Amino acid sequence: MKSFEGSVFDVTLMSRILRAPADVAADCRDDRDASAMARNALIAIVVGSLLFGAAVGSWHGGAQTFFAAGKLPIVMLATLVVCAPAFYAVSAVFHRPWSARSVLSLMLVSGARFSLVLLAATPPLWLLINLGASYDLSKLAASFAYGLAGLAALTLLVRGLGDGPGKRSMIALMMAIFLLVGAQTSWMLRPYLGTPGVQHVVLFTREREGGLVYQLWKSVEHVVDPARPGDRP
Amino acid sequence: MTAEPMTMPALSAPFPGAVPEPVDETPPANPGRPREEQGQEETFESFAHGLLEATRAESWVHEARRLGTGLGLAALFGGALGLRVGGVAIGSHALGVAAGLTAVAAVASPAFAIVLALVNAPISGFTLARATSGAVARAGLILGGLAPAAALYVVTVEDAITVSVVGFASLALAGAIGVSSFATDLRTPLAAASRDTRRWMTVAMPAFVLFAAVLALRVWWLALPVLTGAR
Repeated sequence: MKSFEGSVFDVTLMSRILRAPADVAADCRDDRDASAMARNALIAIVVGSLLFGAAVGSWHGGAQTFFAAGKLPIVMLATLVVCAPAFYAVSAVFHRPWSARSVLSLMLVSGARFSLVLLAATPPLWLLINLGASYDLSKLAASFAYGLAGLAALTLLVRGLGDGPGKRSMIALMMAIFLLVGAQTSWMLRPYLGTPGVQHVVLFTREREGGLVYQLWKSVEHVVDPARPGDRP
Repeated sequence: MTAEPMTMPALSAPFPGAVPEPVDETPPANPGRPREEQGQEETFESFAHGLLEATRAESWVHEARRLGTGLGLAALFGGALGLRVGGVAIGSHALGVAAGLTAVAAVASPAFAIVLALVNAPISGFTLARATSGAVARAGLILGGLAPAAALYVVTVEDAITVSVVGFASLALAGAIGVSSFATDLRTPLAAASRDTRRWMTVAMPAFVLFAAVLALRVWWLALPVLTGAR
């Protein structure tokens, strides 16, 4: 399948990433058309996460919308950059000594699939927020969308690994690394939604807030029992 | 954009009236693989492939290079840990992580060679050295790959316990991969050993693994104060 001549963005490739992840993964592994694939994947990553970030930031509105829109693509790209050497090393140790180009293109198209799912989740999230969803519900909805996108990206990555020894160990290891790095990167660049009860908007917060897992758990508690006393203003 | 391949076998059905494309009739070198993959297989070798795959010929230089590269990659991970303190700690932690692997290669492995000779195992000094360098190369590659993630954590997390958990978990993972590689490399020559030797090896191999793990842990405990909370 070919893209439109002269077009900057290959919609056909995006369709293949969503519909035929195994084929795309095989192309990455065999280093076929890697530069075009990487360029299109980068565009998808930036656009998808930017729009999703804008929807998340719309909970607070104003400058927060632009801050969150700007930060989400940075989180995505930083996670990929930090995880790339680990993916290269892990795949080599588990009997898949691919070239760095193959590993990078596989990661980028996985990231593109992740962002395309985020893009699909953007309208429902925006509508939920527009209908007046609480801070905690909005946070959980955004996390749920992130989880779905992660599963979609993982599917492509798993297909890309092909058959061979150590596949399950490698998947578990890569999931752990992606989760740890992604969580820490996004935690570093918080806030995205804004802070409840605080009118002014900050680009970054340096409050001691106990970590990402702790904050998600607090949100579950608040959604289940809104009357529960919290530790936020 | 890559160049179009010379042959397009059955990827798309020709439309009616189309002139059939010329077909390359030369027999493929490896009939089991698609033609376009064969050229890549013969010419391509990634850095990781060159590092992890042992050569067929006995080459001490190649094994020394693998060992040195593995230690260098492991030092990257140590340097990343040292970023929490900065300055001299970057270098001292880099040396510390490499020292743990060096201790196993320089102390534990020669001791194991004596045990292998005692039980009359059919394993030459070179085979043992190759297994050792392969294990260090794999452990080093993993640690080098994890170095950016470790740097992210040690620089940005507030609590020391997270740094300790991330650091020791990474070292444990690399150690497990190294030990697994070592045991796998020795499995084939040991299969040809006598029954008595194989029986002895069921005790000697776990004992070696335990000794190597404790030795490396002790060195890392002493040499990496960022992980033990001494800093």
